[in-house]
Amino acid sequence: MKRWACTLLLLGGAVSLAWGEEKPAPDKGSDSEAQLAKELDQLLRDHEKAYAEWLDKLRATKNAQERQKLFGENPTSKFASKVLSLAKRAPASAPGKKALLRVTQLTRTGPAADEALALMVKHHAKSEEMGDIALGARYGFGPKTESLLRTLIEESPHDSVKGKATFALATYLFRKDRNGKGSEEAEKLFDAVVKKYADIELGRGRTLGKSAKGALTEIRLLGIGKVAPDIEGEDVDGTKFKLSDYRGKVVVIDFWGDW
Amino acid sequence: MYPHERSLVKRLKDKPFALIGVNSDPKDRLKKVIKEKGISWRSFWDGGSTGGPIATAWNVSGWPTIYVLDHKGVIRYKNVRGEAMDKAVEKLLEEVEQ
Repeated sequence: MKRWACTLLLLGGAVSLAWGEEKPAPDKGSDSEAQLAKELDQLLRDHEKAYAEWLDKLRATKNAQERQKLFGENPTSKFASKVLSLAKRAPASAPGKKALLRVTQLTRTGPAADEALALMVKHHAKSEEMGDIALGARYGFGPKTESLLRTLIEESPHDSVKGKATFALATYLFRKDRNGKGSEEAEKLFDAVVKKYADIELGRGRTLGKSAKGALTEIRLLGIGKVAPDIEGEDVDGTKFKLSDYRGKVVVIDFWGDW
Repeated sequence: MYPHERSLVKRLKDKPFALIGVNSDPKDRLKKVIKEKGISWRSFWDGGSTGGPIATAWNVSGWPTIYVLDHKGVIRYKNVRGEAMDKAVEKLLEEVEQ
């Protein structure tokens, strides 16, 4: 992670700790919860606005230097810390849970993410929303990623959470060690997903089963040392050809697009 | 990407080597890119999007994705680029000449 981003997160964390001490003690009942929910929604709206403005500025930059400078002004980590502070006023409440979830969507590594994750596990481990946390974890949530996912697999009462956590652990292990031992366990886990959790939805028309099958194809058919499957298709002029036409030559296959 | 690929193709034109693309652009875009950027290697046109049949069959979820095959069609390297790609290809060409 870039140094400047780490510094921003640390600063944000430090500031939010200071603010935390000045707030009135967390309160009883639904009034303060309603208040928290209101403040959270306002804060999330503020972030959306600030982020959109920052994106506009980014699009208007003319060179790499300007862009580099603007990257340091991404408002997200500052907001993540503010959202975390809100959450900590009543972490076990519904708006508290919503806030903690949002923090983990805004920042994946660093003190704010670690703290939000710990609070989610402490107060909401059995909730269905842990499924989304699990999915987010497949790209890595810091050193606690594996143990978090294994705990969810074992202890969640929801099939959707178990399924997502199994899929996420498989993906995480596979990405970590694509050509070695990582993919052995990943293969077993993806298999379990296909057998037990295939229909759980991932959004955008994908299911856990579909994605797991794709990964299994890659592990079983596209590993180093495997004979590549043939490709049959057409070139840009409509002429049919096959990958196997090039047997006898060293071939680089390059999946590309111009964007 | 294109300059490195172009120079690789040029350098190895007399060797048993081929660079084969699998392209995910709409056809018009691909034609334009080939012309304007001097794409000197053949590509499968994968239906005009990143969800095409070839990318799906190969479980490709990030672009570019690279596979390097030896002369027997065996996958030997994945996602090597730039100099690492050059070295991999060189090594495999030595095996052909043996």
